[in-house]
Amino acid sequence: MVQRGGRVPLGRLAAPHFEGDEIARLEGVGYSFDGAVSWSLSDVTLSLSGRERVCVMGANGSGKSTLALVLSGLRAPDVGDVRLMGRACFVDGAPEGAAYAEARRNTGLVFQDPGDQIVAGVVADDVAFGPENLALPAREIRLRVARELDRVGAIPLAWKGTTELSGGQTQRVAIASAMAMEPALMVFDEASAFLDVRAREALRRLAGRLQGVCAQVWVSHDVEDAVSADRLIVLEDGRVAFDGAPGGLLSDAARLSSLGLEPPFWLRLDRALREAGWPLPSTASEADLVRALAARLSPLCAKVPQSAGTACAPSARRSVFEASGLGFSYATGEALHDVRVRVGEGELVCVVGATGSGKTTLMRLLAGLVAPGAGSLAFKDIDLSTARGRRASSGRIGFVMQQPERQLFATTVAEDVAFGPTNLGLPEDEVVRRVEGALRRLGISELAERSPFELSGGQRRLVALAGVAALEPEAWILDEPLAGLDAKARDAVRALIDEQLDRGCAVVVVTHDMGQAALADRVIALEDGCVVLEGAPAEVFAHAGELEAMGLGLPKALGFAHALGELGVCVGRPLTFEALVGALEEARGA
Amino acid sequence: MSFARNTGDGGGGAQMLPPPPPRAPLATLDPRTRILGALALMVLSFFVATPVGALIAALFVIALLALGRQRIGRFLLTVLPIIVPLALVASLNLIYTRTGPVIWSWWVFSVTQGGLETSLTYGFRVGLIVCYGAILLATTPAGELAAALSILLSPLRHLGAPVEEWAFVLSLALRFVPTLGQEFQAVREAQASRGGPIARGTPMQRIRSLAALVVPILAAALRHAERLSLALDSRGWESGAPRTRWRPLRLTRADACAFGALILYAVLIIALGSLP
Repeated sequence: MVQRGGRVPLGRLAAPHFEGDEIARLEGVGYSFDGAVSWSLSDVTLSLSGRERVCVMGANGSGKSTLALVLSGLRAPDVGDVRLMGRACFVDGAPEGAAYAEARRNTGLVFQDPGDQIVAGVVADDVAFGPENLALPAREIRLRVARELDRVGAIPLAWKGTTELSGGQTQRVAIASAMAMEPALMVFDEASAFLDVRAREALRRLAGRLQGVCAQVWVSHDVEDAVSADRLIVLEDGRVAFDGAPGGLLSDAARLSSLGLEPPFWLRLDRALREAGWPLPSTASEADLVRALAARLSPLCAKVPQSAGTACAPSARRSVFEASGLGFSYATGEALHDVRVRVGEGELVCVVGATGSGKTTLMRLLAGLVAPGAGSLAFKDIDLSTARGRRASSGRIGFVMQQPERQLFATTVAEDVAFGPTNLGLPEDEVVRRVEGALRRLGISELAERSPFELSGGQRRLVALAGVAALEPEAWILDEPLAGLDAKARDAVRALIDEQLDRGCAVVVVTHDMGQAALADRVIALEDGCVVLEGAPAEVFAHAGELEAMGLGLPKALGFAHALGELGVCVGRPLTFEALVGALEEARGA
Repeated sequence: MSFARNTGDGGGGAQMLPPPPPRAPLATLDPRTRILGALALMVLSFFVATPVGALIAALFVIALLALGRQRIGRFLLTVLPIIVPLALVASLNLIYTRTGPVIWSWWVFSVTQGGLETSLTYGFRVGLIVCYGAILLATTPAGELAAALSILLSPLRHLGAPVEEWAFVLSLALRFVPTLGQEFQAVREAQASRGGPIARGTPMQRIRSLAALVVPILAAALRHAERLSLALDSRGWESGAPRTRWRPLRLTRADACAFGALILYAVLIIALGSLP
């Protein structure tokens, strides 16, 4: 019998703490969101035991979040058998409520949006909330609160208000609160997708610290998350395409690409060098490759020009955005101070900075959504510091905020994309032409008549971008456009940005991805509302120490060159993959 | 037990929480004391009837602000938007109350001494009540408010009212107000940058641009609600189940002092109010 899968009735039963070894066993599990028309999971068989650390990867829409829900006992499948925490939860098409309740009692969950999980106003109270529900004595709760806050390195935050925390801090508090229940399994559903570099690294270290305490399932599409996992499961169209130790797969670039995953940087480099005829021993990690290359290259410094990038000549292109002395304050304090920005036609400017550095405020100002508190701000010949100017700019500046997919509202994709052009008062045939053009440019023409609410996260992002592209704006402001996307959707977004630059648009991108910033014409680094570094990527990334102090990283290529430098091989300052390969080739010839 | 091992510092054993940061004297009182005190003060403000009484009441509010470590300027900014319209309503007494000698008149309007006194008295009392409420909210976080209310209202449980749940839901609702506010602003700005919502066009177009605001906000509220219900479930919250408090509310000597001060104030105000 096939029973419609779905929500497991919630409700706790007094359940014992699970001490066994068999965390989960799925057999032939299938899950469908639409009554067996399409399958989000099909024929998934796997088991989880002990305290292993598993990374679940796959493209957007491959079913990894669904698998996390099934493993954590929050969704019952349509077909198959599910055993969780040693008990049969779903057998012969029927869910066992009591067994499910016991499984959930032993499972901790952390979502992409940790804010939704915080129930109390004070950090320590939030960690205490679960143990209080278990009716533990106050002394025991106090011990658990201190222990778990210490584990996530959040003791100093104990008495802070939960609304005052940054994204990374909120994520750590959510983990402490889940751990205070002493779960046998922790499930992290894309927990790091929207964190900055520093917070993401802190989360990876935390994963290591949880090793041996409980089983962990990390859903992610960043291969870096898989590197130190015990086991990697890759899903493809709802099926298990790989299940095993990550080492083997992570050194097979072709296989990774075919599974819709972006190979790690060093692996791509390894492949490119082999193709160029470098005799390299087999390598299994970035450190291996660095050592192998250092051995091949003479320890003498190769003669490579020190500046691989172009010098930052004042752009001769016609200015699109021109701001000076720009300032803005919220009721809570100053967010931007004396910022100077100039963006020319066809120019890509990346804005980098840690959380709270004023990036988002700068974006809102450039998009003409708020009036500057101080200074001048012009878009082409429009003065954006006046209300009339901001009205006149409406529809000419494309603004894509973080997670724009959350703003979708219409019943079909085509209708949503048509919202902007219709508002501009364009004739109907022009609206149709623009909608079709925008969908084609993002490669999602086939989605036109679907409901945006039934698409995967990555597809929805592309729909939201199409909605802005249909305005045919003269400038783009994008806040973290690549965050949370798989390799295929990333390529589509990058292609859109390139095409808009060719059209002569000015593009400003806020990003945590230094590899993306390295490709910009100019990079602006913000800290505490002030511009601390500005210039061509080569100039900005020459300040490695300062960037690190700001919690920002370096482009992978430059980081790799630094690692070689530490072994005595200088290859200059390549910022991109191609530049690094070129520099290595030159060093080899020397 | 496995959980005690492998902690951040690698040492295991007893980590200590730092003591809570010092709070304003008023905020160290039990939240029940603060709620009951505010209610008593609100009732007492109806006994303020003489200039001397008003002076004492005003000094008491200033003392409360000082004990609550509230900056007076900022505090006034938060209460004035509430007090001013209420004071305007109170000033209608100037026109409608006609007792005592006329002290000012123009055209068909005239102000009597009785009218002036009544409007000043009512305006002042309303101002006091707003101040007490604002001080209570400024010194009491939502969680404490909910905990205190669930105890104060617990007699209603005998009538079958799920008081604990009400208080808990209230505190959750208060917690998500700022989140939804931020999201509303984000949606509004995103749609504004796509040229909407439009204030022109056919009614159908206007409805559609309204949907552009309402649908994403509803979707966000549902998403929060669903995630929150999962979080509550996975953290063992069950309506009506017995639970403990790791920081139980305790009445201390400070609360006794506060009640003493309140009684003294009440005697003073009532005595002054009943003077001829």
